[in-house]
Amino acid sequence: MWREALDKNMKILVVDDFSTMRRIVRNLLVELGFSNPLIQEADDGENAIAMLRAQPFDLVVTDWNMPNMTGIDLLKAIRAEASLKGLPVLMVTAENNRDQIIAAAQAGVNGYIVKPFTAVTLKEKLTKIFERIAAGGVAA
Amino acid sequence: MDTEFDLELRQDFLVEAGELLQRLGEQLVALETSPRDSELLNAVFRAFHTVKGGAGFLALEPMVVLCHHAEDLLNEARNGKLALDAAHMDGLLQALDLLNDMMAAVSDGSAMAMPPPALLQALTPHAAAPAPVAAPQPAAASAEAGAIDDNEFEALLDTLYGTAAPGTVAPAPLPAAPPAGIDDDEFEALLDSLHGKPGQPAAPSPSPAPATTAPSTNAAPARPAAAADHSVRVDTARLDLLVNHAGELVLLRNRLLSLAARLGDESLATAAGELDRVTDALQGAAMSMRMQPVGRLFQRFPRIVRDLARQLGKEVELVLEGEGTDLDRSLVEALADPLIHLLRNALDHGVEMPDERERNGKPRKGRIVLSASQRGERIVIAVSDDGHGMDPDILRRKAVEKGLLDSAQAARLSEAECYELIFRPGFSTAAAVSDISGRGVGMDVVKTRVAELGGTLRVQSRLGHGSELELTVPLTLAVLRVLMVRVADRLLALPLGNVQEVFELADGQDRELDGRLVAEHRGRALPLTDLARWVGTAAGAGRHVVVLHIGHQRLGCLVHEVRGREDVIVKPLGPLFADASGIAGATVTGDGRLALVIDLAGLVAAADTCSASLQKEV
Repeated sequence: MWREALDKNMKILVVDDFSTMRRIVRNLLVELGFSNPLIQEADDGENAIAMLRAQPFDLVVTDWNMPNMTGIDLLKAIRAEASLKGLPVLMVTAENNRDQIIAAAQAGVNGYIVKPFTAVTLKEKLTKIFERIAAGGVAA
Repeated sequence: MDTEFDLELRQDFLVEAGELLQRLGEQLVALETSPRDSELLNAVFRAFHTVKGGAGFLALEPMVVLCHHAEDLLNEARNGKLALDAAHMDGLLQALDLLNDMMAAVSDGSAMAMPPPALLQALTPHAAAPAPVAAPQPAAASAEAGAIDDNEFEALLDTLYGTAAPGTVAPAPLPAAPPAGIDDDEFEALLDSLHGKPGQPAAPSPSPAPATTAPSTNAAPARPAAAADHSVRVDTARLDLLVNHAGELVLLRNRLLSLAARLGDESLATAAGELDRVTDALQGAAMSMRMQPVGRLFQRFPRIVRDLARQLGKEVELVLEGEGTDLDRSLVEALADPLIHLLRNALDHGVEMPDERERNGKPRKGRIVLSASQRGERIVIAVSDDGHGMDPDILRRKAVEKGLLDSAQAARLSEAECYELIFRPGFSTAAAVSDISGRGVGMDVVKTRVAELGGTLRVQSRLGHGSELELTVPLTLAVLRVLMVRVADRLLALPLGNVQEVFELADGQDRELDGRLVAEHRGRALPLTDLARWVGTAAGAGRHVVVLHIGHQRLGCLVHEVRGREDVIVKPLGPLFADASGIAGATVTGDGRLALVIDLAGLVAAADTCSASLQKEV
């Protein structure tokens, strides 16, 4: 039987230097049924990694282009840290740029989404990410 | 999204993107002087990029298109494929102007047009080539060169990770460059090849990629988790409300203090003293929240100076100093126009043309310094230039030509007094009114405006070396230092910053001159205004004179009693009295009485009618 792939009680970290954008993403997540109090925000990669180390999260939604530490560097830092490396990361980009996305995939991104997007698109992307996680496990 | 959220979002966007755009103006001007500064290029790129992202969600297509073009251009520059030239900079600055217009349209809900093709052309990296006509993109994103769609992405993930989740296994090497265009399936496939196929057991043992063996070596040192949350954004209306309440408390405290003093009750006096301290602290804290660094005001000026300099064919460097100086929020806005005028003036009349400067042994590039500093309870903002300065003799001649003075009066003026002539109405040192400084606003208007803010404006000049205009304003507009006077049974508060002196009229010192009541004072005729008549009481004129300095004018006010200095919180009168000219507001004095705070500009206007009516009745 099909079951809802998305756990609505996930703790999500939204990373973007533009607070309007964090608010947009948060609101779309809430619209999808995620719990508002469980969504936290960071304004750049450095702060994000500090928060990720301090408390457990189930998902990171990060912008690509940020000062101090970019989204891709944040992704690499997550994958490089034993306690965080399995954390699903959805990358928000402004451009659908093939080379960038391939680079992100190689760095270990779980999904990407191009701005602007709707709640429906966001749901599709998240569903794909967690389907893969549920189905996959780890290759030998 | 519901509309309420949309509205809030729009508001957020306006504030946040507005700040970005304001900084962008300064950054672009800086970029023009150092076009290879990669940090600056990144910051400018990111600003356009971020605004585009937000605009996309708000479906502000013209904004998205414009930002996108600017971003493309900057990206080429960032990647070293293009050196930004003056035409590019003009294009970027125009784009910024248009973006600001668009923001205004967002704010008032009006429609915005698509950016003009000429501007988009100017932002095209290879401006010589005709810009491709924007053909509608085919629905499939994969048809767009260099794009990727969901299926390709999934295929990509399959390729990289099998069907495992990224992060759980090391990515497999990618096959040769995939064809341009990728879809979700491809991405999934890519993930599969990187992470393995689904269905395999989720073994916790990771096959470590090189990077995973050294956790966090390149990561930033851990910071407290809430590092980003040290500030909150508060609506200014709520801040004003807080300041207002704190002000009410101050008034109440004043009453209680004078009550305690009158009753002589010691325990009441102690409690009132405690309240005094706490109130002071609260008021200080409330005031400090209204403070903003003057840099917020300054940051728009480099752009203005740059544009003006180009327009005039001059070369000028604007140096900003003391941007961290804090100033009351309301003053930041109120000072914008006067400062723009002073800067225009320095550029137009002060700094010489590059050739002339060279002939005089100066660097071709002129220098204007805009500085701010705090001196006690006042903020001093100075605009100085290294231009040709002012010639007192030319000023004297001009004043005579304009009929402001006769030649004998002009000859008597000291050098300093000559410079002050520029603040007279109808005085302009430019032979012809240029469209730069002479926009129907003279230095006299600037001086009057500054006076209304409780400030002063002074000028210094050295022929051949430049001029300096120094503007001094009180730290805050919320607390006003006043001279409390009594007219009949009413209390009036006069802004102390404008009070020059107080004296008592001797018998025969006042007389009528051309239908105006004047007093012979310090060898000059001081025009007098009877405040008793002005407030409409039947009492005769007082014999105490308060001499006020308002802009370039001096005015003596006749009052019955001068009570002394006081710090007051000015309360607006409310809409019912919106037409009461000459009154800035009201305040409650220490003994609980109501005092009207006089608006000096309104008083000057009223002064003439008071004197005129005087003549009719005498």
